[in-house]
Amino acid sequence: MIKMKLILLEFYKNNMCLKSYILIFLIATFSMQGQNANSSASKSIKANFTIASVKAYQESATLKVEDFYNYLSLFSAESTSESLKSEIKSSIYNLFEDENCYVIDYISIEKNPISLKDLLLKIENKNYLFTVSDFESSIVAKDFWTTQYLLTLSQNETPTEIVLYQKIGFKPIIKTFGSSKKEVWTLFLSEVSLP
Amino acid sequence: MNPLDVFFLLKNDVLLTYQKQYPYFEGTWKTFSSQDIQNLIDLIAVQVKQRVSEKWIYTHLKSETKDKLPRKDMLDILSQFVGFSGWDEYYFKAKQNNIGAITKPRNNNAKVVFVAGIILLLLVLFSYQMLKKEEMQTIEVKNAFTEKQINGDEVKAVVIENNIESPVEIIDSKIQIEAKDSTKIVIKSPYYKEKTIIIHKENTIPITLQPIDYAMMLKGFMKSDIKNWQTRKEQLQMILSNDLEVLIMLKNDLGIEYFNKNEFSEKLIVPSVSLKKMKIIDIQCNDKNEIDFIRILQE
Repeated sequence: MIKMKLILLEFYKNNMCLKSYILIFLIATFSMQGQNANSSASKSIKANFTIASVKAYQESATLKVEDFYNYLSLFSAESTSESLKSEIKSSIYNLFEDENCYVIDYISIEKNPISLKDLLLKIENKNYLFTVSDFESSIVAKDFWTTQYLLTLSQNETPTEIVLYQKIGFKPIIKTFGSSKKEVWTLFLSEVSLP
Repeated sequence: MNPLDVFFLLKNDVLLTYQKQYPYFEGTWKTFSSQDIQNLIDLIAVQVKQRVSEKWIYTHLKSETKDKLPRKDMLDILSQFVGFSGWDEYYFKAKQNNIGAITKPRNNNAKVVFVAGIILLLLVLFSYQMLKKEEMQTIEVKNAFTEKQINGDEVKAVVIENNIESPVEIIDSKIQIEAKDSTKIVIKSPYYKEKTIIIHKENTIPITLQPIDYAMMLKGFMKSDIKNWQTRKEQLQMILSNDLEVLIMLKNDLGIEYFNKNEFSEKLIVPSVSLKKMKIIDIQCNDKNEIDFIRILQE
């Protein structure tokens, strides 16, 4: 009888222990999820910047778009040396968050999506001239906005005008400054699409 | 202001009007003699065509107590004597302007005084401006090596007085300061070494600033076109510290973008649209004279 009681007591103890583990596990899981949710919210554009500030960053982003098309024109020029093209290519990729990003095949009639790499291959030595104007930025999402602009493309003939949308990423990233690292909000160019 | 107070002002104005006719009288009602009383009675009779008794003057004007207001017809006579239509007008104006002096007869005089005052004030201001102009000191700011004038946009100057810094105007590469026996000036620039000097009143010698070599090279790169990009790339590698931090201040201080050495060098190697909108406002160097901090204003 005494032995039986001891067995029951052991079982009861083990059961309590199991319950405690389950409880701790559940608390830890929900707590981590909660932290992630807070962290995610605190890294949104709206949570960190005023409307006026966002507008200033949007203006700055249009300069990056202008830089991109300026680089494309230089890259496309026949007179540009191979070594300079390599330098320009690097500058273009660094403007984008992802160098495999999709843009528009500006020179085709269909204007289908094309990867940035393939676009560079298509326009190389073709003397295309890209100019952009009429920028308008959309409302802000969590970590990006969309900018609309007018692209004028010419190649020794009547220029073609295309209205385009481009996603602009704006998020905090860890940037390296030589021996130190710092989390800084950074602007990136992203995919280009048709309206 | 009650009617008795206004009557007190009227008494003063009567005295002032009497003094205009008899300037040698410099006393008060207390010292107003019987002869003065007689003169005043005659003056009122001539000017207002009304009669005031000697006793009334003794009772109401010479007396210093003012517990009771005189009759309205007598107040009218005195008010007319000092240039008003009657007591009502005098009382109204006195209450409105809180005046004690005779206003009406002096109207023309007041206008003349006012105009003269304005002219005098303008003259004083003009003379002050002329004097100030004459006392301004202009000193050129030059590059110590090339001896060429330094562009005013690249230099900032402050006068230090009692540990307080006040900005100094720079017009056509010349510092404009008020001529004083000695003025302490600090000249700052992203491209030149900071200089603190004491300027004396007679000093006309230009201020020379020593350029910071690497900062001057960077200034040149900011304005260059695509030519010589390879040399520029090599030189940027040399003049920029690996720890370089570039702060791009957006319009109206509404945000900051950070560039590291690679990102900033790229903008200079292949000159971009955004580079043309950048204005360097601060450059700092490390112990090896490499540039390790740049603050840029995006226009």
